[in-house]
Amino acid sequence: MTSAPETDLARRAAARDPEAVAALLAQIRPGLVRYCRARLGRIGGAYTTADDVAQEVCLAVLRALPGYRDQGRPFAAFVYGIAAHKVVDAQRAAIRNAAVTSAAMLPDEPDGSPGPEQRAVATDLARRLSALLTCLSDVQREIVLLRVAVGLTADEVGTIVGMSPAAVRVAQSRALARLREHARDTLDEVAA
Amino acid sequence: MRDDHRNAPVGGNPPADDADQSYADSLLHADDLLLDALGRGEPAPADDPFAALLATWRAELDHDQSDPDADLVRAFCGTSTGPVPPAAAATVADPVTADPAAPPTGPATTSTADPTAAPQPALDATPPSGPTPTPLTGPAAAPRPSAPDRHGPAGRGPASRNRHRRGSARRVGRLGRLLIGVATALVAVAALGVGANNAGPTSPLWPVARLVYPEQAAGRAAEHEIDLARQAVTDQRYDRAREHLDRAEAHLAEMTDPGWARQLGAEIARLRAALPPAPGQGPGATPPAGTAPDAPGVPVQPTPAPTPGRSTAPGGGGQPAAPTPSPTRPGLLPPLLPSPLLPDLPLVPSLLPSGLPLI
Repeated sequence: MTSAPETDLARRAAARDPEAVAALLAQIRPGLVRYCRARLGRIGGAYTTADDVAQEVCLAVLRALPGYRDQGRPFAAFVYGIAAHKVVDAQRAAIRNAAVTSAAMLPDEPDGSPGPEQRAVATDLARRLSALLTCLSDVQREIVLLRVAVGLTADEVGTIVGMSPAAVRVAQSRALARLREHARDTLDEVAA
Repeated sequence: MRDDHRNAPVGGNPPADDADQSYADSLLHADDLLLDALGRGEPAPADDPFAALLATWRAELDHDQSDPDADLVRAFCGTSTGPVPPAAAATVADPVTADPAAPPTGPATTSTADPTAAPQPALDATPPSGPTPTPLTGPAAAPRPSAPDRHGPAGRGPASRNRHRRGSARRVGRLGRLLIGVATALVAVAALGVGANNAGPTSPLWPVARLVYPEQAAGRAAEHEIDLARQAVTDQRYDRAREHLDRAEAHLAEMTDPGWARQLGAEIARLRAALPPAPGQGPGATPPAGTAPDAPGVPVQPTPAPTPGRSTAPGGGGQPAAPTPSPTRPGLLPPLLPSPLLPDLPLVPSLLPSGLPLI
């Protein structure tokens, strides 16, 4: 999702026009899935929980569309405001259940399902990067997630985290520098 | 390339000149461009292993993304590509979605058959972002599949009055009826419960009370026996009185409320003590009016409506004969009750709302 949906699209989707709803979902859902997966990680070896949360966010966004039209907020802020709340709720639930750990707290659980070697390597790398993300501050981590996992622009990220685009750019550079530093061990290990 | 940039002394000195400033800016810009590219899902530059790590991570997050968009559309709109399983629709908890018989529609503004088309104003009135009433859509959704005809509401008897208002109005009508039915049932149950709560053995609700409130049932039965015992004493039928008192004590044993049991036990003891001697010495049961707030107000006559054992108003106020405020009637009250037995009661046994002296 790189741009706000047309006003007409949002209006038609709010009116439950199936085509408009499908178009809007095609815009926002992939990023939401990546966002929820990145924040919640694999639970029990699968992204099922994260995907469920993404579905909930999509429905909540659709239902809240009339409110969005009225308020005129930036669309990314609107969508990811909802997403952040849902993710936090899911994280709290996961903590209460004490059965899972979120990516923000600990590295992902290993993917138990056997698969092609490439998949295993990719999953392992993803896990390592999730672990690396814990070295960042919450804001820095959120910025990296929204920029890389979701694919938002620095301007859009600014409206979500409440920073100017320039401040976002500074923060993201600092985050990248920090990650690079901590990633040396990981990369060396992978290269070896 | 990028690693060379990293080795440059960036943080050591403040960017004192334009070159340093532009260099810092270029770093920001380079990172920004890199993140833009990674965010679009593009592969990383070949010489940047860390960027490759980020790209792999991003690709992994994208992996195996199912495409339930169609399900979502159906869930939200209730239409499009096919019939919606009622169970799935109900779990979405959206009243719009439970519509298995609706045909796939194109533009939402068309068919009269589409329940989602017409009721937009009504639906928007109910805030779509709030949680939809799941418990109501469940039972409301269930009868939906059995509705014979959604296109023409011919088969809906009670809803025929909504014939010209489709969709949400009909839905609200059905939900409204369901709500009213549930509310009525709840009120009825509550009323029954309240009635049964206060029901003594002479009440028509006694069978219910016995089942629903067993602890109170024992107490009420004991009170009833005590009443009958008093009546028997009044009638000077002391043997009968003793029988009633024995039965009352049996009920006492079933009671779970110790305070209430204590009071009734005292009552029984008083009556017993009154039996052998002459009836002249009443068990001191004529109470002064309105001064024994906690004494069980048991009506002597079994005919009046059963009053709650512990309510004081009918008992306290119904004593026309002796409206004295004094807490005791000296001479009529043998000190039968050592205070340890009844620490919370004044030395007045009971109230006689009927006004009849016991003796």
